[in-house]
Amino acid sequence: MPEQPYKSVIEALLLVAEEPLTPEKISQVVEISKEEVAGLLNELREEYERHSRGIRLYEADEGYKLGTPPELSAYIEKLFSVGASPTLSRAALETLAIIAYRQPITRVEIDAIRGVKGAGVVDTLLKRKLIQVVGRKESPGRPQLYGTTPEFLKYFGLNDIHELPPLEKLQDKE
Amino acid sequence: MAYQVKLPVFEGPFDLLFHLIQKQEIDIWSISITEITDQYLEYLRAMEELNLEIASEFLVMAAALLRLKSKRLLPSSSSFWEEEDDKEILSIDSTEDLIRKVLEYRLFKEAAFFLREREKEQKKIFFRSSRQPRVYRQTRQETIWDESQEPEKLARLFQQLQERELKENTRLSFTVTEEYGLRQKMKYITDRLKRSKSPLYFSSLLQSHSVEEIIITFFALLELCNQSEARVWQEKKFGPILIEVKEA
Repeated sequence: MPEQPYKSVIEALLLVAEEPLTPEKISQVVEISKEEVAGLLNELREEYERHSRGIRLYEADEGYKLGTPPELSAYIEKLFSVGASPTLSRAALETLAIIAYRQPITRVEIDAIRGVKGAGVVDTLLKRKLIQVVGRKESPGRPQLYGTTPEFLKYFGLNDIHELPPLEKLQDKE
Repeated sequence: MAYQVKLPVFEGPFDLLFHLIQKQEIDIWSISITEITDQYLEYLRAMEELNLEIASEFLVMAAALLRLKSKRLLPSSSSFWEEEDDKEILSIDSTEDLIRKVLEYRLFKEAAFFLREREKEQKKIFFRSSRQPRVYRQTRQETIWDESQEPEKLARLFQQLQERELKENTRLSFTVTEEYGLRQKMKYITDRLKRSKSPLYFSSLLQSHSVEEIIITFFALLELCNQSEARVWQEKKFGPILIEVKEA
């Protein structure tokens, strides 16, 4: 293979890859160190932003992928002739928030915090694969325990569950 | 509709309680349980007056609040309170306990708000993935024939599409849309009523019996009643709906 500028090689890889590319994978293909890859990725990210390109570099699922800038969403929706996709209900988001911060947690414990019996909500979230059963609580009835999924992180554009702001910080907002 | 009263919608009793406490603009720990209980009940009454369905959780909370309020009036040593608390969703032992629960709920409400913002932001980003081109193809809809054109043209189009499907090895899907305008339907009903000597059955107004048609016909009928153009009645409960022209 004739030697090419590494940055354009990485850009080309990101363009054709359908799944997020990890720095490891890129470093294997390009045959440069992971540190060099990280540096070049950063350069790419900055260039896209500085030149107001129609491309952005996003980090997700411990990998990198190319996507569009949020401010251009209206045009893309027009191209696909779809409106903005439906969002989760308030009840679903509250339940998700409780599960995300208090996992593993049972249905009864979720209901106690919300003050509402939300039987259907948990099922919907399970079906959408935003939460999953992670075990059973060793208490009478051995109720199922729920936790968030990788799909949850992807949906909200988080790399890690620890990217959620600490609960106490949310309280400070008052 | 002559007037509309707007009541804020709450996700649950804690949501409503927090709203009430916040409205008082005092430190949450110094709330008066009596006042909060009264305001809470007032809100439920307003809901009732507007014929809004009150979820059972709101009533359970009302009972819990009243219990707390009355507890303060009785000597604490009273054996009346000794009975076993059943482990309900809403077991509230004291005002402090109530406040703690409201505050905890409030935290997650904030967290849900954070998630909502993330969600909004994420929905605006599009990625190249194997899934998107398919969406693109699926949603490219165009009307190529409607009732104003010759039926033969539809047959020809269908044949062409079938050939294309074979040639390009793709799958094409067809949707037949029926469109009913409310105005058209109202006009259709009044025309029918004028021509008819005897009352008409609702079912006789339907042509395709699709859900959409039933709904729009019913809407049209309600609108005609509202405009005093038609009179509608049933002989018995769940009986067929009869319609006649309302004499001016």
